[in-house]
Formats: sequence, C-alpha cells, structure tokens
Amino acid sequence: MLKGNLSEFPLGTLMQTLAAAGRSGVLVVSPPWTEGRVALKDGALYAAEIGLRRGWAAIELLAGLRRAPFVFDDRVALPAEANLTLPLETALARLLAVGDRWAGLAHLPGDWQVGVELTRKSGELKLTPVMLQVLGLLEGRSIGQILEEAEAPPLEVAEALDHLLAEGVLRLSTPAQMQAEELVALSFYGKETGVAYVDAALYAGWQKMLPQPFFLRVRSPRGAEQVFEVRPRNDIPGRVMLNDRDLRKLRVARGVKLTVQPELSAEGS
Amino acid sequence: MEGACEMNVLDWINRINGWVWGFEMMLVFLAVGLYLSFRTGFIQFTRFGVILRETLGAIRERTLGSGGEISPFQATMIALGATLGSGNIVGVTSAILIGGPGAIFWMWVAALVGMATKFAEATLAVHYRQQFADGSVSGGPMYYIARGLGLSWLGALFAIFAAIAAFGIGNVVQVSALSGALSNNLGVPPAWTGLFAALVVAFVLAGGVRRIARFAQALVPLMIALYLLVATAALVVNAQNLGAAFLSIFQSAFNLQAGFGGAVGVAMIEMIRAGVGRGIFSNEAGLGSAAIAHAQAQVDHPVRQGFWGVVEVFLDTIVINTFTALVVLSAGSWMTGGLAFDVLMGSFGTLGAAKALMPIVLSLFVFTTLISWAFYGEESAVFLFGEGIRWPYRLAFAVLAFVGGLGSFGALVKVSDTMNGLMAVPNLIALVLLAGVVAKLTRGFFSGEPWTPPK
Repeated sequence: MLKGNLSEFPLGTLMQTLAAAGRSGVLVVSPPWTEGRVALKDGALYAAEIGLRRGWAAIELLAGLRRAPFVFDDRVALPAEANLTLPLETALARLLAVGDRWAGLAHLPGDWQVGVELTRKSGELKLTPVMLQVLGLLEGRSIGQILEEAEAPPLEVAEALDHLLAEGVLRLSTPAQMQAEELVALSFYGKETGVAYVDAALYAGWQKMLPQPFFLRVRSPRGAEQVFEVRPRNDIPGRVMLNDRDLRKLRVARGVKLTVQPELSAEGS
Repeated sequence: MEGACEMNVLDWINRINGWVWGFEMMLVFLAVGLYLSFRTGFIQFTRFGVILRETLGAIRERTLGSGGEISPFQATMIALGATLGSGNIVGVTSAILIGGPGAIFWMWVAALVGMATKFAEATLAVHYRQQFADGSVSGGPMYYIARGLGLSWLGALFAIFAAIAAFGIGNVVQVSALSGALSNNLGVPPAWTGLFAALVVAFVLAGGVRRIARFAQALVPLMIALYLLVATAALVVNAQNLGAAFLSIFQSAFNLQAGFGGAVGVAMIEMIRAGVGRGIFSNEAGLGSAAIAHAQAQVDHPVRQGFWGVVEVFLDTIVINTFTALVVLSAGSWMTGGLAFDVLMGSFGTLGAAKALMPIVLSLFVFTTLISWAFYGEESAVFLFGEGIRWPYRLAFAVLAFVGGLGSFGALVKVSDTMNGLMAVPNLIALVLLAGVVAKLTRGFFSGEPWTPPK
C-alpha cells in the first residue's frame, strides 16, 4: 500500500512511478468533496473515474488537483471493464502535457470547493461555447462541480473558468454554507492597518472551508465596509480586532457589533 | 508587667504607623509614581484619550476572552468599592481644613502621579495572575511579587499584611462607622446594624467572586451617582461661589500664607502634605490592594486592565474628591473651622434632601468597602494557606462584622491600619523592580503585539 498527497507527488509523477514498477491496483484520490479512482493493470492505465467523469476525462480532472490525499492499494479488485485504452507511453506523455496546462491556469484556485459568481463588470468579451456552458452552470455550484458536470472536457472547462476569472467576468465566492457572522469590535494599536484579527478557533474553521489567502469583509451597522487581511489571534472569542485607525475609518468604536464575511478576493479593501 | 509589655507593643505599632503613613513615605509613593510615569512614557497624559475610549467608552461591553471570571468593569467596581469611602468625603474636608484650598491642587498632582502607579499594579496583576484548571484566577501583588520577582517570602509578607488589614480597616472600622451613623441619625441599635452587615457579608461572599462582582457592579455606580447628585445639588445652591472656589484652589496652591480660614496661615509644606496625602491615600495607588480585584478581569491584554486602573484613580480623586472639595469651598463653612464631619454637613447647608441622603450614601460606601476588602483578605489568606481557608476566613469576617457594630476595637484598628500602610512596602519594591515589565507590556500593546502570559 502506498500513501501520500498530490501536493507532494503530482498525478503525472505518481503514474510514471507506478507504471515503471509494473504495478496493478487501484489509486484512490480523496479531495474533500468527492473521491476519484484510477485503476492500473501491469503498469498500464486501465480505468478511471471521478464524479460523473469517466476514462480520460477523469484522468484530466484528477491531474488538476493540487492537493488531495491518495492511497494506492494493490489488493483491491480492478473494475470489470476498462475505460482507458491508450498505450502506456502515449498516456503518460499526454498526462504530463495536461499537467503543464493545468499549471498555467493562474486564476483558478487550488481549492475547488469554492464557487464562482458573475461580477458587475461591463465590457465586451467574445464567449466560446465552453464559456457559455460554464456560465450556465454557475448557479449554486462549486468549481469542482462545474468541472465534473460540464459537457466539455474538464481541462477546457478549467481554461474557460480561468479566462473568465482573469477577465473579471467571474469572481470567486465563498461556499454557500459560510454565513456572515456578528463579532464585537475590539481595538488594537500600532502601525499595522488593514488587518483584522479573529479568534484562532474561528479562523481555523474558515481555513478548512476556504482556499488561502482569504479576506474578511467588515460591515458597520451604518453600512460602511472595508475588506481586511485576516489573521488568527488567541483568546478573543466573539471579537474582531481592528486597528484603532481602521475602526475610525469605519466610523465605529470598540464594542460595536460588526458583520463580518470571509471573502476570497480583496476587492473593496 | 503585662501592661507594660502591651504598652511597648502598642508603642511600636504607633511608631510604625507614623512611619508608614508619614510624610517621608508619601515622598516614596510620589517617587515611585513618577518613575513608573517615566517608564510608561507618562501614559496617563499621553494616552488619556485612548484610556477613556478603552474603559468608560466601552462600558457597555460584555466580557472579553482570555482567563478571568469577571468583566474588566466589574473588577474595577470591586476596586472602587474598596477605595471609595469616608476619605472621599470627610477626608477631603480634613485636607482643606488643614491645608486650605491649595491642598486640593496638590491632591490632584498626587493623583495624576498615582494614575501611573495604579496602571502598573493592574497591568502586573493580570500579567502574573495564576490561572487554575477550572477557569478561575487569583492575582495581586503577592502573585506578581512571587512570580515576577521570584520572592515568595515577600509576596507572603504582603498577603499577611493584607489579610490582617482587611479585618480592621476593611471590616470593623467600616461597620463601626455605619452603626454609629445609623444609631445617631436613625436610632438603629448597633447590634442590629452589626447583624445586618454580617448577613450581607456572608451572603455576598458565599457566592464567590462572581457574586461580589455583581454586588459591586450594581452598588458602586449607584453610590457614585447618588453622591454626585447630592454634591451637584449643593453646588447649584452655591453656584455663585463656584468660580471663586475654583480660583482659590489655584491661587493658594503656591501661596505660602494661604491656609486655614485664610486667617491663620499654615506653612506651604503643611498644605502640600495634606493635599498629597489625600491624593495618595484616597485612591490607594501604591498600596496594592486594588490589584487583587483587577487580576480577576477577563481581558486579552494586561494593559487593557491597566487602563481601568488609571480610570479608577481618575474617578476616585479627580472626580469625586473634587466634587467634595468644591462643595466645601463654595459653601465657605470651612473657614470657620471645626470637626471635618460637622464642616461637611454644614457645607451641604440647608439641603434637606442632601442631609437625608448622606447617611444612605455613607452606608453604601461602607458596604462596598466591606465586601471588597473581604475579597482582598480572602484572596490573601488563600495565597498563604490554600483554598481550604476560604470558608473559615469568610465565617471569621462575617462574625467580626457583627461584633464590629458593637464596639470601637481601638487596638485592632490601629494594628490593621498599620498593616494597611505596610502593604505598600513590598508592593512599591515590586513596582520599581517590575517597571521594565510594565514598560515592555505597554510598548507591546501599542505595537499591536498579542500578550503572552509568563509560564
């Protein structure tokens, strides 16, 4: 049994290693929201699946995961039918090429649990059929779900998303289950402005749900708002700690209840 | 022979008493306050706006995180409950009778210096407090002496002084004054007053620091408001003299001839002595007692509680004592001399409501002092003997409160008064030696650094 994480062993490298050893078995990749499987028979790619994707599309999608724990078990029975028929060397070469294309996507986050939403940006942009597909799937779906459910190959969908994010047509949105919270303002002093401290336990909870870096939108009762870099601090439960100068900018004092919402972009800061 | 021996002991106690409450000791208090002011960058002046915003400006807030069982406001109310007493009323009148109006100026000066002392006490109390597994905390000078300086014996010495002082100046003196006032004004038998005081003390102490905090939180603001209301009414009656009263404070502050009644001159040294003495001893900055209460506050950084220490002195001496002084000075009755209490009551003059409310105000002052000092004594005893002493101490305190209503206990009062003064010795030594820690914590706070409690 072989265990590890894709952040240390990318899929391409892993496949090359297993293929060179002529191994048979099933590689189970477990990102937080789903599970993917790649079966190998005598070192050759035999079958793959993740969510709704099968065959090469599943391999393409799995190759885009920047981090996820994996386990390769040679005692697990192989699927009855193969859905990958490419010769080994061709498959490995294509896998490396796919890895390079994924690596070039600068705007797509590594965490696919987050969603995307349309911005209010106006302007002209030529939309491809894949982009249209993506726009049709936005509502209530995470990036991972869009990549799984779109008809186009995952990498093309990812490139379309990346392009739309780069153009500012789309922006990342926090997961739907992440609610705005009310925290009481607490002041700190010093030169460090634009930073919000929250209790370490609350921060850890957000950290599990959001890709890094994430930010904190702070809204005053009168509607003034600002986006802050967010950091953890011990022993301030129920509090959001802002520099005294930032509190004054928001026209609030210590002790006022502020609405805070984690965000994935620093827009409005 | 026995009598002679007793005479010797009392004689010694009198000598020590004269020393710990003497002028030289006042200078030590001032010197330590000035040193702490210097080490903290005169925080009481340079950061006064921040201090007000962080304390009175945030009064509606609930508790913060971190260790501690009560809110910073509640901790301050316990501390104020102990410091506010007849000294703020009768004591200020005495200072004016001895030193003239200029004494008030020197009282302010001493209080402004004392703010740094109290800031340091409250800050160190939180920094070096002991946190227990059940979430409760204990702190105060005995802890910052033992943990900060590593001198457990000196911490124990402070605790011994505090535990004994609590029985006298924090108990018998208070109940005795109350029973006297109620007996004279309302004809209440002293035994009933003692019994009532004992029952209240037993009930409040039984609830631990949380109940003490609720008691102080309700009563201390009430008594301050009530007193300021009565004083304001008296000031309104004598409003035409208010400007002159204020002016007299500044005019006679540097006038060598200004003094008693404006007729009999007193030396400037007497005026300074009277004023500075009131400025130091009214707010107890340097004695270390209030630090025991401040240590209980739930705060994320010790400096934040230190701010409350500054405010405590501000409320006690700058606000309340000044109100008393203005009432006395604007009424003008101090010029004819007499006993301080009579002059004070004369200053409230024809205000029937004021005369009726004064016994109530004094009763409130007594009860809050009684409860706060019971807590100080209990915490000190726990430092010395462990948790097991809590209930025996509470019981002894309640019994003494009952007995206190029946007599004056001159010797016990003298001993406890001396012990109260002696508390300052280990505390001031610790404040000087730990001034660097206070300065470092203050710098850290104003640089936005989180607080790391000592291991």
